[in-house]
Amino acid sequence: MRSNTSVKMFCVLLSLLLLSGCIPRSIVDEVSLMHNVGFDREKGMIKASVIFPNYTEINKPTLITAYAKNTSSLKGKLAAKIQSHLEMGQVRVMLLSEKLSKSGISQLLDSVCKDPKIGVIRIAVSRGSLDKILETSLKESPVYLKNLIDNSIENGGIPNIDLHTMFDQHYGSGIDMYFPTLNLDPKGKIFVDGIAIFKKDKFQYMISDKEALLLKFMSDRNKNGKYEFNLNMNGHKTNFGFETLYGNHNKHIIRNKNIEKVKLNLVLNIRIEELPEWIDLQNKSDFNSLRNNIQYSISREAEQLLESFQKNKVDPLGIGRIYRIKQKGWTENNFYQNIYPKLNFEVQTKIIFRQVGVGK
Amino acid sequence: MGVKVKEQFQVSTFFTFFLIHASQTSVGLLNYQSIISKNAQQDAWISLIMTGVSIHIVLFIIFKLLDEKNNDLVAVHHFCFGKILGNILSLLVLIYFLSSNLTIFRTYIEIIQEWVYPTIKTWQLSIIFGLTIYYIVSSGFRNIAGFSFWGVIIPSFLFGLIYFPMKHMDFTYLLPAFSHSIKDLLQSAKASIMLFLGFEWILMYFPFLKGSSKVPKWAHIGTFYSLFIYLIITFVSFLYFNQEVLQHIPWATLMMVKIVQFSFVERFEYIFIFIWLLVILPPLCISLWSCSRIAKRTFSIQPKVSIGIFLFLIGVTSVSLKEFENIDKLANFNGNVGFYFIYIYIPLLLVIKLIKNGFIKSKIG
Repeated sequence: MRSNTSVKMFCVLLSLLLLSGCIPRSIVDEVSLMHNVGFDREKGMIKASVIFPNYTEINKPTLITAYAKNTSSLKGKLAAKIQSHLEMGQVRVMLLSEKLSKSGISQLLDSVCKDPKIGVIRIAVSRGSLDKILETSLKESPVYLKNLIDNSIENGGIPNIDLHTMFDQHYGSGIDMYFPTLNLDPKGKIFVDGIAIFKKDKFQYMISDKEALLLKFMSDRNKNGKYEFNLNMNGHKTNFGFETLYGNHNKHIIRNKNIEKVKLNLVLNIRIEELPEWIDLQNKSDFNSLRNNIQYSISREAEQLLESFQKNKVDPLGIGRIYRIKQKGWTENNFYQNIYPKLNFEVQTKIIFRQVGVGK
Repeated sequence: MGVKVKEQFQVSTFFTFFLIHASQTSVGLLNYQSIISKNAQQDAWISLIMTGVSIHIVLFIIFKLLDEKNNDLVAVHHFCFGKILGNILSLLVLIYFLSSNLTIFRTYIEIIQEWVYPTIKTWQLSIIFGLTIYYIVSSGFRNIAGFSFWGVIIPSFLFGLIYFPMKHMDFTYLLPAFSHSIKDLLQSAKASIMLFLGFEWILMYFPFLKGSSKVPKWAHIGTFYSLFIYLIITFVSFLYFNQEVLQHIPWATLMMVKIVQFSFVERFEYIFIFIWLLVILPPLCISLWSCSRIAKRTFSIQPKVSIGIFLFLIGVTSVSLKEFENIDKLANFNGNVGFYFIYIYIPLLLVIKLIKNGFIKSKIG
């Protein structure tokens, strides 16, 4: 009995050992992990530029480009140019050129959706030359671009955009997707300069980083950012800025008679970082007037932004979705052709002075 | 006629909970969202509740079917249809149990191939899993019960992972609620049956449970717990994914795990898939054990022999199922057979049994 059990145990152990040898392995030193991928369109082909750090030689990341007609064979073309197995699992930033974005990216996004290896990824649109941006990032650390975008999402004016929101906006109806855009400043530094809004899968409308902050207020849970506007108060004029800490928003549709209105309530908790000397917050009227000025400025600019979305036929805020809740037989085409252009917008902002700084 | 199982081979009554719950949770939990929401969309959770309630009714029927004298399915078959016809029916049930086993077995291998190792061969994984299953099943029912216990306890920490998608929930995705017709709801309810299938194996292991009077209570608690967990996961995934997105991602649960990140492990879905083996093994073992039990009770084949034969059959069929479409078809087929088995065959069996009982009584009277 006992020998029988040990023979069985031996067989199981042996087969486990033998069979585990069949598992395909990939060792970090022996694969080419890429961190940044850029896609462009040239002469009817898709061009991929890939950066991956060469871990065998210290600090020598390389940029490799390949051309193909579809994304699947692109991988093969790239693989032919590097010494070791290409691994997609560590891709952090996917950069799309403006030209490619304007011609449609659904095929590319589908390949992202189907690849189980792709995990934490930020998609961005490059304004200006994609190659230049990638070449500039070669000098920095491999995750430089990712950190740059992460930082502007967390603390800057860019709403959160990751794989999940991309799927949600791309495959879901009643909302349009958007990605941050990267650009080069005159000194050759990369910076996030705004948001590219897509209609279906085509780049349609671009907004600046200041407008993007308003979009962040109206759509994202995280409302951290720096807001500035021209303050005109007590006969003085100045440019005034402050930091928004957190807050909440809700949007709903009000129907009366023939007019349909999108009403957006915004509550923002702010911290004041600098004050012109002619404002005294201890003074009740100064305090209220400052609050009203800020509230008015944000509301008006947000309304203008919403109207410009309407004019350019994009809906990054997902107004179609709120509308769908109350309308039976909602269809995307009908909404954007007949209803969306006629909507009115009203934004109401409430400002709470949470912190006014430690100095006086 | 029924069997008396010696007490040393029996397990405590509360193990019914783990056996029932473990045999219901399997691969279906990884990809059911897109299947059940095909018709009822955001209202599919209502269908899920409908199915859950109906499963409680079926369980009630099952415990009416089994009694002191006829305490497993084979005995009931003998009682209702006589020896020959009864054995043929038992053989058909055996084939159905085997196909449930095959579905889970092959789908799990597909998940590993699709998500982790695209180039690994089916036969390699079949041998590894086959040996493991043989090892567990051949050591008897008590071992399987123990394995079901740990197969419920250990993976339950995975449940805490719903915290990550919960951070991104959007409550408007459930609106407009109650906007689908009864027909849509019923179609979704039918699709969600595969989540609950597996509990019917109690028809074979019922004699192995101690104190049979308290078994129904634990069985109902087990089913209710499954329903409860399914509902929570359904709500979280419906609030996390838009309905249109769900139709684009077949493995919704794994896609939710994808966003889980710790500072020490970035891709939790790989760990999740392999921990899921612990969830897969109990249903595989219980169904295979039930098959071998039917073979023993009807044709007096030794379990060690029959388990080997069954595993060989499962391995061979798994390897021969090459295209993903066939695997989907198999899962569909199995779900359909299960649907007719629990909703039509079992109530029918109860009716026949009651008629026969009345007939015998009137004869004696």
